[in-house]
Amino acid sequence: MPVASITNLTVRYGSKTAVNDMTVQVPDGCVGLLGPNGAGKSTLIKTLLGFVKPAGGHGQVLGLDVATQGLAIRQKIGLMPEQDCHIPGMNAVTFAAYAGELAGMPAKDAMRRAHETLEYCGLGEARYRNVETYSTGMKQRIKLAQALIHGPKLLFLDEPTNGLDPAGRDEMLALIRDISHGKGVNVLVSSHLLPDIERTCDQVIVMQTGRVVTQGLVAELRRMTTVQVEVDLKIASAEFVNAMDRRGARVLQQFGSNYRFELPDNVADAGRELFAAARDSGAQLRGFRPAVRSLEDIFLEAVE
Amino acid sequence: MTQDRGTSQNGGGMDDFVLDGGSASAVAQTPPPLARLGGPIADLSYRNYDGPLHNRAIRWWVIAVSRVRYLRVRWWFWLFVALSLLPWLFTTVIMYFQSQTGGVAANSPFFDNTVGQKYAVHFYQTLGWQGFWLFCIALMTGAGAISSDNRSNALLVYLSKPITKGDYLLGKWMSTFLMVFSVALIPSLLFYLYCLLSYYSDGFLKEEPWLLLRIVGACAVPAAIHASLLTGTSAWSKTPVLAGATYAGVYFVSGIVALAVWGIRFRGDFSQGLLLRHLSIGGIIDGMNQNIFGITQHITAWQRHRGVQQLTLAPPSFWAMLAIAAGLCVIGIVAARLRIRAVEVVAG
Repeated sequence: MPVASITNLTVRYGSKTAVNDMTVQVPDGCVGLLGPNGAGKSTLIKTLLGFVKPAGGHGQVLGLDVATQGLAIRQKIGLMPEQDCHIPGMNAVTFAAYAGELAGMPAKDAMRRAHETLEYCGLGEARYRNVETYSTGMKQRIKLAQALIHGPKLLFLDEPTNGLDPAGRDEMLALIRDISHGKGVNVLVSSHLLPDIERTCDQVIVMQTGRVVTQGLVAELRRMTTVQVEVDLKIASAEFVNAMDRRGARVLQQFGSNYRFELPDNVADAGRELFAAARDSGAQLRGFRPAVRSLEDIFLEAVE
Repeated sequence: MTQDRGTSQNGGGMDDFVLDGGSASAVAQTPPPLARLGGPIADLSYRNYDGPLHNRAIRWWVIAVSRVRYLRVRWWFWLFVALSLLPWLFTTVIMYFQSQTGGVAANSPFFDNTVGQKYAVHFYQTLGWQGFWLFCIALMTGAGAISSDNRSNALLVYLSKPITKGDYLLGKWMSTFLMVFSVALIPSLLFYLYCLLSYYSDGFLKEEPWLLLRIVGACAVPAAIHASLLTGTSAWSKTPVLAGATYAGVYFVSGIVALAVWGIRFRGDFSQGLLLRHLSIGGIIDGMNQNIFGITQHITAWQRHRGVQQLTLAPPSFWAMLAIAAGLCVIGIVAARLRIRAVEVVAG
């Protein structure tokens, strides 16, 4: 069941079209929203939240109409914005509880929940510190905590790992993965960092110039349509390539002594063929593995 | 014995822990990412919130109260509150000595024995003296109300929650209004109580039965005007200091300009140009309050060409004052409303 469905959505900033006649279904689970800078990812999120009025088309989030039920939508969603944002003069626990009260939670519940959420986000020790004194990583965490405080059904995360060091990034991605799997929270992660999406999301939507260019399960998209293997030789060998060519395989990529071969569909045992070619050409085969497409390959294919 | 501690709500975190045969062997199938590191006994996994939610109608109140919470722990705020109480203390002391000396001081400029405004004049005068401190408190409360949110992108936090721009604006406006109103009203009510206890037998209630309502109305005037204009000024700034300085500039310059124009136009004749003399923020508050208390001022003025004069000054036109005051409030609120946006949209 889609958590958001958008039909012919167009968003314009003056004469510039940010989202262009877009139709897409955002499935449940953890979905990555990929695209280069200026692709319209943030605009799409802002439109779904009701911050930006669309010039055309319509959309639904969790079954609620974007144009007329903005408040009801915001009751059920949480937003972790890309920009640094906090409420000045507050410590973390007050800030998180205040965010909960703004969402309608009774003050007592909001305070209890603020402690829980801050612990979960790894700010338990720093909860009484003023948010303005936080490091970039801690500010990212507090943004996540305020988004989670009222128990949203859908979480929009806009560039959640911005400005984080490698350890902080790992922890943030682990948190996102944890929330979005088995906790009943759907997550839409907008990012231009492909490894982040690869680590957290099960599905991706790739956008470019305000349109969806590809969409689907990451596992499906990564699946090869032909039999391909990555081969690692001790040294590059033209004879090995010729030997493979005689067996009906062709070279797709070569980086030094690493090759990617596309094998004929009727090959039953790729290993046997590779060993045979190595024996015939006198090349030393160091290793081989079935080739998979990376998210980067999918992304580049989609945007090119 | 196998005891599944289960989930408290519908999160699914605590069901990862199973106690088996009395030995606490915790089996964490999908341990929460940060719980893995420190290993506290407490359940730190994510749990959903399915508790009650308040109606949206009172969410502005949460915003209004948050500013009060911020100010109540600032010593400088309380210093200004204390200073704003001094005029009331002064008036109370004067009243007390007047009553102790058997009316000796009754002919001093502090007293006006005109029937119907004998007591109201004290409230009018004292609120006027308190005006500067109310202005300072309004600055402290209102200057940073929206400007500091602008600086820290807090509007994204507010408007991503189920509140409207109107709720946000009402909350911010109310925070300044309630603060100034309370600081004006509470000492006024205490002074009213003092007068009631001291002058009940002198016909305090009989002579001025509507005084209590007039006090409430008069306290609301500076609160509403300051709250509206400061909210508007604050919304157009990213620094509380700049917003405060701008409003203070408008407040003082409008007062000086109005007096200067009146002085030049009417050669300092108090009996003329009443409306022009009140065409400033402070003047409008004063004019409104003079109308609300129904005060006709009896003043002694000295002028170079006319010498010493006893003047009787009626309040400026109530409707003109009301229209200008309402106009200022509308301008402030509309200015703020135009500026409140969750995201900056730059048309290309």
